[in-house]
Amino acid sequence: MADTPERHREGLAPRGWGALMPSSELEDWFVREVLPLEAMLMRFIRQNWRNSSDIEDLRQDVYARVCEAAKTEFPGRTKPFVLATARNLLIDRIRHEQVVPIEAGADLDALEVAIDDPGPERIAIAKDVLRRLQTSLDLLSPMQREVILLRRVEGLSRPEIAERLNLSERMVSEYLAQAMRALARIYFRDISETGQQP
Amino acid sequence: MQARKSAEDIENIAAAWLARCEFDGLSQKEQSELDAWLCEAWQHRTAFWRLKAVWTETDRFAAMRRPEREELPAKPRRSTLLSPLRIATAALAVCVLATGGLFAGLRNSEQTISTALGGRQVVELGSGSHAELNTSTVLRVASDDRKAWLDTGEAYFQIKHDAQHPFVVSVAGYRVVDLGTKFVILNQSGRVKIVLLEGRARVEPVSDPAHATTLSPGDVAIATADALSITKEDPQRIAKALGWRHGVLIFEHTSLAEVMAQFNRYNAEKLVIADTDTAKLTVDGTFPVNGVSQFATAAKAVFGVHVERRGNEFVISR
Repeated sequence: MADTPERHREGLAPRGWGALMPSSELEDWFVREVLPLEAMLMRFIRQNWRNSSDIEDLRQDVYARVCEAAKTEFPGRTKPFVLATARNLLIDRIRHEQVVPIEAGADLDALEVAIDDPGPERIAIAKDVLRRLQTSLDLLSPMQREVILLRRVEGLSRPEIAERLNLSERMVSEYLAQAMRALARIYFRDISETGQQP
Repeated sequence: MQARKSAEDIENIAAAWLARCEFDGLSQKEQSELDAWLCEAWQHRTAFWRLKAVWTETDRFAAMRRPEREELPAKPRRSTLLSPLRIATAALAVCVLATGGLFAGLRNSEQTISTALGGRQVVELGSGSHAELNTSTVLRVASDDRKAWLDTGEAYFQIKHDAQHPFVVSVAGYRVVDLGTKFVILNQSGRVKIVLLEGRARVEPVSDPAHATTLSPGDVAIATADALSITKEDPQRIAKALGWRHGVLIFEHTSLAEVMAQFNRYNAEKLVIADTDTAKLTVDGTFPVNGVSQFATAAKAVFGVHVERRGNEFVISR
């Protein structure tokens, strides 16, 4: 997409849509290139930000910034780009909120070194997706796991699942939504951590 | 984080939408609510994509299904192969833009991909190419992904050029041959319009390939059974006309008559304009393709026109 002349796409920006890159393409890229880096990104944020209750918000803001930038042009190398974005976000937070929640604040420049290290994350995550999923599934609550299995393996409808589990239909949706969140959290974290409870 | 929604809140909303997609599909109204929510912030989009990506992967659990479930006949639509979310095609817009790649190995013979009224669909064509289908469109794709037939409707093509295997779309007696390119073809009951956005493409009558014309960016070819004419169009206008790829119609000094024609392409609810004076009013703005009632309400407020609902028609008059 780097060769795309901008002029053809101007005016396509209704209310903040991913105007330049077709949203499907951007989503594909995000899923393929960025999400597999989540474990590494979380490790990076955790190492550099003391207040652990901010970590998920920071992750989300990094993703938002990364995609917003990528909508005009995909970065050549995703990993350094994601880490640089994370570093800049942490620096901005320190400046604008005038909080210094990390002792490592002075070390942020040193992080550049880590950014260039081509890690094995992407390869690792691509391998044996099913095994990874099953490991993740084992860490869900029993009800969350049941709802997923009944839906995906048995292919049951919501009323059928509700009947099978003796739940209201609303609760079936609620468990599914919870399960989707928990699964994502477990699925993307370090393989070395998957032995622990979420 | 103060006034903003926390990551947890956003994820909860994204997950609730996905669960609703999974079980119920989305009505047009819900689809536009979801679109609007996704449009609000990048945080919303990335949270939704992230959860959707993992949920899509869980379709692999279906491999553990008992055999009798496996024997369900495979539908020809690619959406069923590419996307495990079982949603009505019309509701596909943002929810199920195909993830591609993963399931690419499942393709076999020629496939027909179609969209319903108001539908939209992305078709992966392999090796970095894809097509996007607009409302009420039928596209057939050969098994090698390098030949396609646009039987009716509108499609945007973004093709990675391969000199050994040129990509060819056949439409109403013409062939459009890519020479590394992005283009749109509209086939409305035999009236064919080809707009070239980038690169080059060759248009040739099937009956007389020697009389081929090569298009450059900004060229618009109008093809009828016996004539092919080329005009130039302003890139900005071309881009605006492609708003449908993002689920929106973009109007700029557009006459109400044209606005009506546009909305009516996408919706079962129709706009009707009662008098010629009203038809000449011009409109600026961006609306979801299914935002008929939203538009009628806005028109009432902005122009002071009367809007009357008759069955599935919105009649607009002075």
